[in-house]
Amino acid sequence: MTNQRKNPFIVPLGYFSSLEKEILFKTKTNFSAYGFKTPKSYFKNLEEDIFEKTIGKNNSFIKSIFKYVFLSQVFAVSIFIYYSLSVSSETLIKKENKISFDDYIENYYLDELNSYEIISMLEEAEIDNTLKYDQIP
Amino acid sequence: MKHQSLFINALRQPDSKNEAFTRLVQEYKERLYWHIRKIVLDHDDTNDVVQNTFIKVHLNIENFNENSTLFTWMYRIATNEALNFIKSKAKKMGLKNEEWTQAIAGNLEADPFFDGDEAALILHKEISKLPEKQRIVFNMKYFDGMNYDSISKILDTSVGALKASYHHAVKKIKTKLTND
Repeated sequence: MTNQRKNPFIVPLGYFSSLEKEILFKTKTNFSAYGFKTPKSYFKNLEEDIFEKTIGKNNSFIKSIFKYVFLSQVFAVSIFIYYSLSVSSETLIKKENKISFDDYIENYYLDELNSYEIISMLEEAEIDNTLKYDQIP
Repeated sequence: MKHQSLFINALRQPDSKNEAFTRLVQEYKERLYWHIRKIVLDHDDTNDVVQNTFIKVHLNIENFNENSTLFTWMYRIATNEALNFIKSKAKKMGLKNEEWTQAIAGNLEADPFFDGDEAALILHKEISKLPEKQRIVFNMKYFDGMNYDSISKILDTSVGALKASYHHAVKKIKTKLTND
C-alpha cells in the first residue's frame, strides 16, 4: 500500500529552496518596479558609475601621481640620453674635424709645396732657426 | 548589530574601505534605485539621485553615528536626496513639488522606461496626486512591504502618524479609483 502512494516524480537536489528564493525575488522585484523599467544592463553600469565617482577618485589620484612620477622620469631619462648623445657626437665631429684638418695640412705641405715655397711662407726668424740644422760643415 | 559594526569599521578603514563599499553598492543599489524611482518617477533623474546617494554615503560614513542601521541611514539619505531633487526641479520651473510630480506622472505613457499596464498607469497617476509624505509612506508600505517601525526610523516620524498617513492615502486612492 505504501509503495502505491509513493510519489514517482523527483526534483533536483535543493530545488524547493532555490524555487522559493527565485519566486520571492521575482515577485518582490517586479512588484517594487510595478510598471517602471530600466535600460538593459543598467544596474551593472550604475555600479561602475558609482565606483568611478567614489572609489575611482582615489585610484585616479594615485594613478595621476604615478603618471606624474613616471612622466618626469621619462623626461629626465630622455634629457640625459639627448645630452649624452649630443655631447658624444659633438666630440666625434670635433675629433674628426681635427684629424681631417691635420691631414689636410700635412698633405698640403708635403705634397703640394716644394721647399722654396715653404721657405717663402716662413718668417725670417723661423728661417734662421730652421736653417741652423742645415749649417753643419 | 555586531556584524554591522564590523562592516562599518571595514567601511572606515582605508585598507578595507573600497572592498566594503563595493559590497555595499552591490547589496543596496537596486533597492535604493526602486525606492528613489517611485519618488522621482523618471529613470534619468533616478540615476542622478541614486548616484548622489551613494556618493554621500561614501563621503559621510565617518559621520554615521550607528544609532540606526546602515540600511535605515542609507534609505534616509536616498529619501532626502530624492525630495531635494524634486524641490530644486520644481523651483526652477516655478511649480510646487506636487505639481512637478504630477506633470511627470502625466507623461508616463510617453516614458520609454515605463511599460506598465493601464492599471499600473492609473495607480501611479493617483499616487502622484497625494501629498509628498503620504506618497512616500504609501510607496514604502504598499510596494516595498516595509513595516511601520522601519518607515518610522527612516522618515523620523511616529508610527501613529505613519499609520494615519497610509490610511488617508489608501482612502484617497480607493475613492478615486472607485469613482472613475
